[in-house]
Amino acid sequence: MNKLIKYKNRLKMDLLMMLRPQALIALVAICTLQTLNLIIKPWNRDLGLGAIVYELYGGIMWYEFISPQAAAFWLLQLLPCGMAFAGFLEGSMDSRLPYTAYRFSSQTAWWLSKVAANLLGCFAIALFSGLLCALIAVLGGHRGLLLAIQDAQGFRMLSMAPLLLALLAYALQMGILTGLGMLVYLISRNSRLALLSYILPAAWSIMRHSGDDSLLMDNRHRVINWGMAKRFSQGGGFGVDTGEALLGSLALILALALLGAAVQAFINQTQRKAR
Amino acid sequence: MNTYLKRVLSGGGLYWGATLTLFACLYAAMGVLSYLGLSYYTKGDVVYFLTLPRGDVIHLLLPLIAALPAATLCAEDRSRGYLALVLKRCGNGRYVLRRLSQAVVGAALAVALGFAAYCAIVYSHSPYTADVDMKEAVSTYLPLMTRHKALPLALDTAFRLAFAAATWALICAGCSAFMGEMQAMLVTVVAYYFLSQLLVGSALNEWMPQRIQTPDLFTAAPLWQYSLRQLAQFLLAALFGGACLAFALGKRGGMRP
Repeated sequence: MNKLIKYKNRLKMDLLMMLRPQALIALVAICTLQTLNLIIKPWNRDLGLGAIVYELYGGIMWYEFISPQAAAFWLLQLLPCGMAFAGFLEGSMDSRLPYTAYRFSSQTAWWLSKVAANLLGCFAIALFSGLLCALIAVLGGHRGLLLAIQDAQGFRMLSMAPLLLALLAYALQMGILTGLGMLVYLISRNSRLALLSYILPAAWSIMRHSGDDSLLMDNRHRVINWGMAKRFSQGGGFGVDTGEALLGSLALILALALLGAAVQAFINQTQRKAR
Repeated sequence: MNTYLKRVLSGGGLYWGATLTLFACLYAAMGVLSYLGLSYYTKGDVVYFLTLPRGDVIHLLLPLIAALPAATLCAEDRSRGYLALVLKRCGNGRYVLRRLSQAVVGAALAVALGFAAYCAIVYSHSPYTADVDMKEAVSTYLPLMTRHKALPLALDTAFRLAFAAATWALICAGCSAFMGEMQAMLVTVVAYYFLSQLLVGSALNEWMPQRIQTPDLFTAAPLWQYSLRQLAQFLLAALFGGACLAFALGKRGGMRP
């Protein structure tokens, strides 16, 4: 029982490092402005509550030629987590490292604790963002959480599943990118490099793999598209397979965590200086 | 080396910025390169390649390119711990001016270096220079560059991008007075994307950062309007950066030693 409380407290501290005031301010500012930017448009006035959250966290549609605005939209959605991640790296994995590392039984245990905290943080950010967006939409007079979808037989039905799926895919996408950033930081101890490895793969992939041409370049199996629920296949149409997206994201997060655990064997964390 | 320039050049941010600029320019050219192949270049292609960095991915990466050299300036001052001595020697006003100008120089240099590397790659990979010696290459290219306005075009593109990078570097320098290096970079990126998004389709559409950076040269519309807007943005950014730094050095500021 004591051990469980200890783990819980460590996770709590890591989450507090991640969700610092700067990160929360960024989250509130970005979410508020993005939501307002969407709901003030005259053609979006009739959208339901669920549809608004889905529009904002379901990613972007397939594009033949993606515009910088569309790419910037999704990158902007990923940046609150970037702010939280920056705080997490500076606090939990750098300045507090000498004071907390000795509490763990091994470096691997330390690393796995950070991975778990990071993943929880990503889910928390996705949840907060969704709730805040919904709250702003409610204040704007939008109602109705259910979304109209088409099942495999072509029947229209109302469901909350796309909304939850969008938030889940969004959280997993952030989990992959932060996992990669953490691994880069673990190897290089360079926070700038870690941050670049969070932003650049996302920017590059959005620009490169947003087309829906399945013959020239099949983008259904690209990681960036696993995080956008709007690009998921619905009713058998073109798109990313939902199972592949969710399981693939989880597998990738797990692979990055295991890779980090393997790298730990060759690194003495407490004797390295951060750059 | 002069300590002023040394501070700009010693941080890795400048070189990261230059690498990102080169990457953004090459990314724009990549689709054409893989489709046509190098051996099919014509005279017009050289000019065409120089217009490519005016769009797409450079817009996404520009705030990052600008912020990389600028974000470290204040963070280093805070972490080194002798800011009190620096301020005693040069005074608050001069310190602010120095940091702002270093941010501007760093960002402009990053874009200039990256763009110069891109131009060098475009020219050196063209069949006009592949099989001939350097002297002949220069004599082949000189009339081509002047007649097709390739050089003015390249210079205009590089200048506008460098100017835009300098503008966003000032904003990043202002943000870095209050927050860590990485947070300052991210806030700059967020501000840039937001401004770009919010102004689309609004009455202030023509003040969009991308539109100002890369006016369409082929419509023959006067360019001075774009340059004026860009200058106004630069001055506003300088005001913001200066005010943030001055406030941070004040009695209750985060940078006050």
